[in-house]
Amino acid sequence: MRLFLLECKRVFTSRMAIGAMTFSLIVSLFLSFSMINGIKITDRDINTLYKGVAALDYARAIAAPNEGEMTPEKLIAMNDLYVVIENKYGVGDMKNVPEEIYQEKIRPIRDFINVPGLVYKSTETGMTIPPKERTSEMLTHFYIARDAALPDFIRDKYTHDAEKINAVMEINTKLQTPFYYASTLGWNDALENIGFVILLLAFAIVLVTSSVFSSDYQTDADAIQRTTKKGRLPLGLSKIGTSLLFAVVSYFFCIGLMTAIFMYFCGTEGLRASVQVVEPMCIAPMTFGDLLKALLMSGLLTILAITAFSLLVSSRTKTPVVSLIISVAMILAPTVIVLISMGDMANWIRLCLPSGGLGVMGTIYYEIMAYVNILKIGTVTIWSPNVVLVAPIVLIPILIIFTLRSYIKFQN
Amino acid sequence: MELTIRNITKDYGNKRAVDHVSMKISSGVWGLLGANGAGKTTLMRMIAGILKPTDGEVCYNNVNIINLGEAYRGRFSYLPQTFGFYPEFNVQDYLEYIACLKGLNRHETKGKIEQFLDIMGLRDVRKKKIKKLSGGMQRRVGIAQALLNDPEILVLDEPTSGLDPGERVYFRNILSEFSKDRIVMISTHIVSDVEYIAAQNAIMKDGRIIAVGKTDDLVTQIQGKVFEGVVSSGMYEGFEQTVCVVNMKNIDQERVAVRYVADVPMTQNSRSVYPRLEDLYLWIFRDTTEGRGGLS
Repeated sequence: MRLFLLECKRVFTSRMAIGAMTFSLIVSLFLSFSMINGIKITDRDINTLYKGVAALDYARAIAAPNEGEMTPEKLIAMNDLYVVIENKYGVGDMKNVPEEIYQEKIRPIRDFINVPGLVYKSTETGMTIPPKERTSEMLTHFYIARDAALPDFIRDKYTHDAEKINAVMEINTKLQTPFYYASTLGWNDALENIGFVILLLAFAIVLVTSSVFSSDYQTDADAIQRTTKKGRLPLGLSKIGTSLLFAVVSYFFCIGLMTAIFMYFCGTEGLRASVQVVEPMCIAPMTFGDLLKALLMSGLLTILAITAFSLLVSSRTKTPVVSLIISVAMILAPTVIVLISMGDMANWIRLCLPSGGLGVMGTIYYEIMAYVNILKIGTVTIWSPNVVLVAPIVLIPILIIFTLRSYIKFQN
Repeated sequence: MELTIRNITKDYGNKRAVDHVSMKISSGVWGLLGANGAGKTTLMRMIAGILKPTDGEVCYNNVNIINLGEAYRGRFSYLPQTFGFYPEFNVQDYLEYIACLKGLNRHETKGKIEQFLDIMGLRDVRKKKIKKLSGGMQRRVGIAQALLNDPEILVLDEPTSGLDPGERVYFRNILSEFSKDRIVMISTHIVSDVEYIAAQNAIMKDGRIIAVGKTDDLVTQIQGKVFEGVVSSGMYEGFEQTVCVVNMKNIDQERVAVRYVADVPMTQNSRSVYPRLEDLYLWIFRDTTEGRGGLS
């Protein structure tokens, strides 16, 4: 324990660690506040009405009366209200509705109109059936209609793969209906930003951890340490433990701070909303709060996995620069793979990497909200977010064991 | 207390760095002499357990050091040629860290650090970052860390490289004092570092130990072959090409005093002198750069 504490003192007070942590904190704060400041509520001519914190407050205020379950009754009532206003101004086109009326009456119910809009589409044209043509009968069975539309929605992706379509439908059965409505303004961007900062944090952490062993090999400090009583297994464990602790502390500082800022400014109401309020065809049985938890958990596990990977590389290379280059390449690998291919094999490789939950478009947020990726192994199908969460849990202990083995057996 | 090296060999690919070396090392200071590339560092790193021999074994009191593991490392200390340290450490932090690695408890650590800060003259710089110390002071820290656990076996690889003569003498004296009832092994190509303090010397060439023994015994190999004489300045260049010159000194513009090793006297005025370890070293390594006068 004393060795671990001394190692912590050494690592946490090193210039590199302080620099990396300071940089990550500044970036986290900058991105949080610039995102909040960039949020706008505009009129239909895209003139800014509210900006930043004011926009978030306004969005929450107008959504508050309607917060709750998106029951068929509510959908019908909102649709009727929409149609009445549309008809009042003549031609069945929102363009004729005065801006004040639009902001006052339509904006608060817009999500109740848009969500069914993605489900009810003309079988002939594929176009959205307009609200005035949506009957009470249709909206009463909205959730059944949504489930029925799902296979068509994913058919393009899985043309001939019945097993994958079945897997999607199976996951979809776990959805809680009615969906829960609350203002989600800001949260979508917040989750994307958190994912991006996790990526930057990974770079900062490997900058420190990729030199943990290799730097000692290079300076020959390792020769002195290795020949001491506790210089092998206990020191190896201390170095690994300290590096992982550094990763965890950095993560909690930066991502914890960001999350707190977003919760304070975007409000916690949005976390109660079903993700389907934003992506109606999303199959994830989750609220935004669940999505945030999944992102935070996946981010932490991925950060630990990439830290463990960088330690393994460090334990096997004699120069910190080489170790850093390999670790950085691993961080970038998922982003490169996404750009090259989204095929089954590419997805397996990407998600099973230690950096599987990292990337410009590679966090669990995208796996849940943007892609419907069902991966197959033999006849078994796995939903990609599960791979993102499970892969690092499997990888971390394996990487640690290999690092330890590699360090103990290293000959310099 | 005996360190036994049994027929150890170390290969790096096709290159053999240490070639079937066998030695029995008992307490006292041992000088491991050899030119650069002779295999001294590789041999020491195998004794330290850092490198695994390709063949053979190193035993301490007849038990293989690999099997002894922690028990061996608890009695052992090593100072490599390059003293690597963490730049963020000051002297005291570093010694605390190494003391912990050596298994000393808090109380022992405090006492030992105070003791070696005094012995090594480091008290005034205890809070100074090691990277800001001079080379000599850094070496002192290196020696201090090596002595913290009161080792039975102390292995020092080129411990005086880069030091001025005063500091070299200082280290020699400390090591000489420390070596009672301990094995102290010093690898060097600077003969004077071990000549006066080593109880035994081993001379290494091309990965092999070619001579082992006390200084006086070793130098008998060249008894009657070491001469001092005077040659003219004009002839010196040719003289140096053919004879193993240990030392030369210009007497005046026309004459040069030389000390050399040869089977027979090479000048009329040569007289036989008592050989020193340095003479033997240069005689053995006369075909290398160091043997041709590159000696420090």
